[in-house]
Amino acid sequence: MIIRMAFTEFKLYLREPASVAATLGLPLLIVVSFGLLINPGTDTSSLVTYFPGMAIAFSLAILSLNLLPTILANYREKGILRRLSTTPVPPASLLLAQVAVSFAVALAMTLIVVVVGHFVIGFTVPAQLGGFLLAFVLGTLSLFTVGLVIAAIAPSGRAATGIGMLVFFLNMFAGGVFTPRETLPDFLNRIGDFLPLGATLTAMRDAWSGSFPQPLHLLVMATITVVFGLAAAGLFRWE
Amino acid sequence: MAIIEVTNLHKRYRDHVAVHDVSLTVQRGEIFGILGPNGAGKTTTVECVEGLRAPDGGTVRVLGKDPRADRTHLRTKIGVQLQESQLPDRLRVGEALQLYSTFYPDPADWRRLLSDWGLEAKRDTPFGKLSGGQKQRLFIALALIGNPEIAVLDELTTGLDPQARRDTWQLVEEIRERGVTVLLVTHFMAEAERLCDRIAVIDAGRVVAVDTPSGLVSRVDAEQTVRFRPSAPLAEHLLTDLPEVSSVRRVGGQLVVSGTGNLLHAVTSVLARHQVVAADLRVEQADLDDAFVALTGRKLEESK
Repeated sequence: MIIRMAFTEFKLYLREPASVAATLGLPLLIVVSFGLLINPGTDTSSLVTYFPGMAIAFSLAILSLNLLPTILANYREKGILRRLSTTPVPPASLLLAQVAVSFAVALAMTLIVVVVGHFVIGFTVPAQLGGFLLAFVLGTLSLFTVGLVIAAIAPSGRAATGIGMLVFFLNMFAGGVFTPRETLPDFLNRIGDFLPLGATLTAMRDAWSGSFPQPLHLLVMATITVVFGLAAAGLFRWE
Repeated sequence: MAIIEVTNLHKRYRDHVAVHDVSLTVQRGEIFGILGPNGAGKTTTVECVEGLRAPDGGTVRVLGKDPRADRTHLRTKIGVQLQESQLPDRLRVGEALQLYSTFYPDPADWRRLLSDWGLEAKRDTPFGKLSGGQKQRLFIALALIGNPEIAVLDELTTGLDPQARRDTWQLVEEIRERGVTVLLVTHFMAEAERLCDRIAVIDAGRVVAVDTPSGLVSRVDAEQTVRFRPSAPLAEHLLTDLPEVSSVRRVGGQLVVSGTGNLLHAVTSVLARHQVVAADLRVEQADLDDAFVALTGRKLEESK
């Protein structure tokens, strides 16, 4: 039942060309076009980890801060969650299915960026693979819980999109995604360290270049996951 | 046997009382209507029956069980069509039915429902591209997918054109023919009159009457009116002398005779005795609209 639900949600995702383009097409485009520009095979600067990391972070942010809250708030607005609560299946399973599908898309996207970046463009694969996986899982979960809180508090689908946009741009800007943190002033980087996207990207880049992610970033991601996860569970309205 | 029993139901939201005091009993196999203007407390009442809301007072029993405490069990027994509920625009008709069939322990065959409700040609059509009538047919099919004993239909035909509305009425009768008890919420008089075995008239959170449609009409002590154009002059006292007749008026060439009881028979007997033929004969009787006015003191359409 929950598998059928996730399968259905996945089909619905594939039927939104804009969503597929933004979450799978865009990171691929970023990694290929920037890769061709900078020729990573000969570049030894730390910025080499920026482009694939940024492509992944960009897509994760769209997935968690735009798509997830908008879809879930729309489901509530359209009475779909309410309709579910009249069936033997609790409406929370739809949330679960949606999060599972988003996680699967995030995983596939990350895999595509790493594999295409490496074999087609010549980026290195993440040197500290365990640290990278940890950064990916914690980072994705923390971003998803933030998206769930947006869905929980937004009065409508439209409002969820608006709030999501605001959080999205704040994270993209201060999190070192639009421009690498190497070029940002210290105070912005300090803010970025505590934002889910900033912590995720920095931890992934650290792992990519061979060092284990910093405890600060892991702690930030884990704390956000727990706090926002609980907040979403407590605040979520089904109608 | 009573399949739904609502006793002294009371429900308030923050500062306003949605349902003051509602009691009603639905028998197995009937189409039971809840009729009343918008905001009368109809939807809140059925939401308590569905277990979506907890009553603040009174009791609700469905199949002898409490809809809140026994929700897990009852959700397999009640099929619901919610007012203003939708599906994802890109979800296809067949997929929706197939998905919902996996929610129930003993589901109906979704392909069968697809053909039963005339949706076979729409199987691969996304929800967002369906017409209003097709959406309602899908919602009825979804309400029946779990093989329920009770179907609750809330404002099923609101927003439909008259033809689609009549088609949908046909479908509701087919639900009952399957042995499913139907609880129908509506603010359309004609819908309640056409479909329901019994109707609870609700106004401002209270039940004003529970009866059959004709029983409700007969409660109205309204006068009947017989209008006709007499073929020859007729002395008015011949009519006013009748015990059934209360007044006679002349409107143009027409006689308008008001009265009670078997008025038509009394009038036509007099006419026949005097060899007068009644042309353009029309009889106006009370209907459910009049009953509603008599019960609540206002017209249903005005109270919207």
